[in-house]
Amino acid sequence: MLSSIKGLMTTISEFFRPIVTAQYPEKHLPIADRYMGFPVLMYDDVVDEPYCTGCMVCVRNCPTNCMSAIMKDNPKNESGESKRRKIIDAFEINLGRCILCGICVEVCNFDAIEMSHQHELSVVNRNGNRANLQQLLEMGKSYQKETNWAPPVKPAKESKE
Amino acid sequence: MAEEETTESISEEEVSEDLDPILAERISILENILSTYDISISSFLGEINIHIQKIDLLDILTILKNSPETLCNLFLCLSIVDYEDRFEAVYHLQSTTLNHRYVIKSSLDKDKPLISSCIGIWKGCDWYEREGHDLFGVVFEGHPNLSPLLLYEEFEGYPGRKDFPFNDYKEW
Amino acid sequence: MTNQQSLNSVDMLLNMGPQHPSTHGVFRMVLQIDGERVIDVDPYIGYLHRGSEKLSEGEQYAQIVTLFDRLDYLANFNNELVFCMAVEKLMEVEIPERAEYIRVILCELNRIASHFLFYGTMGMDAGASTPILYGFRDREKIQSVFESVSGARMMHNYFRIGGVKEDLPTDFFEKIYWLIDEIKKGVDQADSLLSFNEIFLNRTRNIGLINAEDAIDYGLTGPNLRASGVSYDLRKNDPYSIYERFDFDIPVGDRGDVWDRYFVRVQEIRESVKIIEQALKQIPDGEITANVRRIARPPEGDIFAHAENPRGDFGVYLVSDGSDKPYRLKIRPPSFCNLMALRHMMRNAYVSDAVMILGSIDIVLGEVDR
Repeated sequence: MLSSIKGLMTTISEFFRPIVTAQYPEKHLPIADRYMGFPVLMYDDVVDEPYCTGCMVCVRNCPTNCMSAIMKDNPKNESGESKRRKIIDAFEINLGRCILCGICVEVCNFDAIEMSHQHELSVVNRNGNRANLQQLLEMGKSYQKETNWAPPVKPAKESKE
Repeated sequence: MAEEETTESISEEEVSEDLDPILAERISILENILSTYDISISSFLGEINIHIQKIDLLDILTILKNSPETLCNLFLCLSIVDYEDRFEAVYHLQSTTLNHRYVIKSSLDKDKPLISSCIGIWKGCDWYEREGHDLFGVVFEGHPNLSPLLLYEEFEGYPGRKDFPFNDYKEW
Repeated sequence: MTNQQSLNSVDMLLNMGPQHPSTHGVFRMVLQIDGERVIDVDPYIGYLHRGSEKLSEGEQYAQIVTLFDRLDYLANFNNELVFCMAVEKLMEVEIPERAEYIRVILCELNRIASHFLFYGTMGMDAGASTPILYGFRDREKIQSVFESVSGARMMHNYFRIGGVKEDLPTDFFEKIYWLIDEIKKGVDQADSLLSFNEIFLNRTRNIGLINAEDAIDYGLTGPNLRASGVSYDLRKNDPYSIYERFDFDIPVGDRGDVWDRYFVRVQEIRESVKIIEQALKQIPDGEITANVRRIARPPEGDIFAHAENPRGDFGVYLVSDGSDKPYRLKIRPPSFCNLMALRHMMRNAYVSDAVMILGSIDIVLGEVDR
C-alpha cells in the first residue's frame, strides 16, 4: 500500500512540471550540429560550380549502392576560371535507400558532399525520393546558408584521374 | 606504411606466444586430459584452437565440460565455415568460473556434411544446430528437430554457402 | 459425482504474434495451453532475417559497421565495439587511450538507454502504462547526447577500426554531467514507481523461474544469467577494452524470476553511471584513431571477440582471408540464446504471465534473426 502511494507521489510531482514534448509538425526540436541528415552536394560560389568532380569514390564506398555519378570535362577549366579539370555531370542519390551512415562524406577528397540537416522524407510518387544533381545542389545551398558552411581551408586537391 | 607495421607486430606476437606461461600451461593441461584422442592444439593471438576428428566430438566436448581443469560450462557459439573444399564446425566454449575460452574445430565433408549433435551436453546449442542446418545444410545427427529456423519452410538451397549467389537488387 | 473423464480439459493451441505488440518485434510463439496453464511453447523466429552474416561477406570492413548498428538496435554502440574489437584483435592495432575512454563512456550510456527502455516495456507488459513514458523520456535524453556526438540517434556508425570517427564535441562534458544527474533521478523514480510496488511485486515474483544450472546450460548470458545468481559479467570476468580500470559491482539476483531479471537491470544502470563517472575523471587528451588504413586488410586467420552487451554476451567470430572483405562472419547474438530458454521458463506459467516472461528476457529481434 505504502509503495503505491509512493508511486502516486512520483506521478503527481511530474504532473506539475512544464511540458517537455513538442507538437511535431508545427514545432521542431533543435537538432545537433553534427546531425546526419540526407547527403547533399556543396556548391562553390566563387567559381560558380559544384565542388564535386565525379570521382566516384563515394559511389564505390557506399554500403547500399544508393548513388550514381557521371563526370565530364570541365568547360571552365579550359578558360582558366576553375582548377577542376573534371566536373560532375549527373548525380543521383536514392534518398529512400540511403542509410545516412556518413561514409560518403568521410571518403570524399574534395569536401563536395556533406550530411545536411534535412531529415524529412515524404513524397507522393514512387521514385520521388531520387534526388538528382539539381535537387542535391539546391539542398546543399540551403544547408550552406543555414550553417555558414565554410569551404575547405586547403584548396581542393588535384584529381588523381 | 600501416601494412608494414602489422607484419612487424605479428612476428613479435609469434615470439611472445611461445613464452606466454598461461597459454603454455593451458595447452599442456589440454594435451594431458585429451591424450587419448587424435588432436592438434595450436594457439593464435591468445586463443587456443583444438583441431579434432569429428568422431571424437562428443567425447571431447564432454571432457572439456566436466573436467575440473577446464570446466567449459557455457556453450558460447557454433559457427559453420564454408572453406570451398570442406566445411568446418567451430565450437566456442567458455568457462564462467575459470574465465577461459577454447575453440574446437572439426572438419566436415563438403558433399555430405554430417556431425553429431551436442544437444545432450548443452541445451543451448539447439538453435545453433538448427541454424547450421538451415543455412549450410549440415546434418546434426541426434538432433530431435532440424526444421528451418531462420528461413521459411519452402526455401531451397543453403544461403550460407559460398556458392549461393548474392541476390541482385533491382530497383523498380 | 461427476465423471473424471468429463473434467479433463482439452489442450488448446494459442497463436501469439508475429504482429503482436508485446512480443517486442516480429516474433511468433505457439502456446499450448490447458485451461490457463501453459504446457508448452513453440517459438518461431526468422521474420526479421536479413542475412547480415552473408551480407557482410560482400562488404568492406568499414562498411560492416553500419550492419552491426542494425543488429541489436537498442545497443548500437556496443555492437560496433565488438566488431571493431574483433578486427583490431586480428590486425593487432593499439587503440589510443582517449578513443578507448570515449568508447567505454558511449557504450555504458547505451547500456543505460537500453535498460531504461526495458524498464518502460516491463511496466507496460505488467499492465502499468506510466513507466514507459518515463523510460522513454530518460532514453530520449541519452539519445540527444548521442546525436550531438555521432550525428545520429540510433544508427551511429561512429566507431572505426582503430578508434572513433571524430572527437567528442566541445560541449559534451557539460551535457554529460547534466545527463548523469538526470539518469540518477530517473533510476530513483523507477524504483519508487515500479520496483517495489506491491502490485508489480505480486505480479512478477516467482514466475518464469530458471535456476543457475539450467541458465548456464541454455547459454543464458547477461542480466538474465545474473538474475539466476551467477556472477558472470565479461567486464569483470574477462575484461576487454579498459574495463579493468574501473571499480564497479555486478548486481546479482537470487531466485531467477521475472522480478530478479528486472531489478538486476535497474541496478546495472547505477553501476554504469559509476563507470561513466570514473571514466570522465580519467579521460586523457590525445589521438582518437590509430594509424590504420581506411580499407582495412586484416591478416589471414580467425578470431573471436565478445563483450558484455545490455542483453548479454555478444560475440563475433571473424574469419579473414587477407582481403578487404571478411571470409566469414558469425555473430553470436545474446538474445538468440536467451530466447532458447523461453520454453523452460514458460512451462506451467499462466497465460497472463507469458507476456511478462517474454518481456523479462528483453529480446531484440533484430539480433535474434540477424
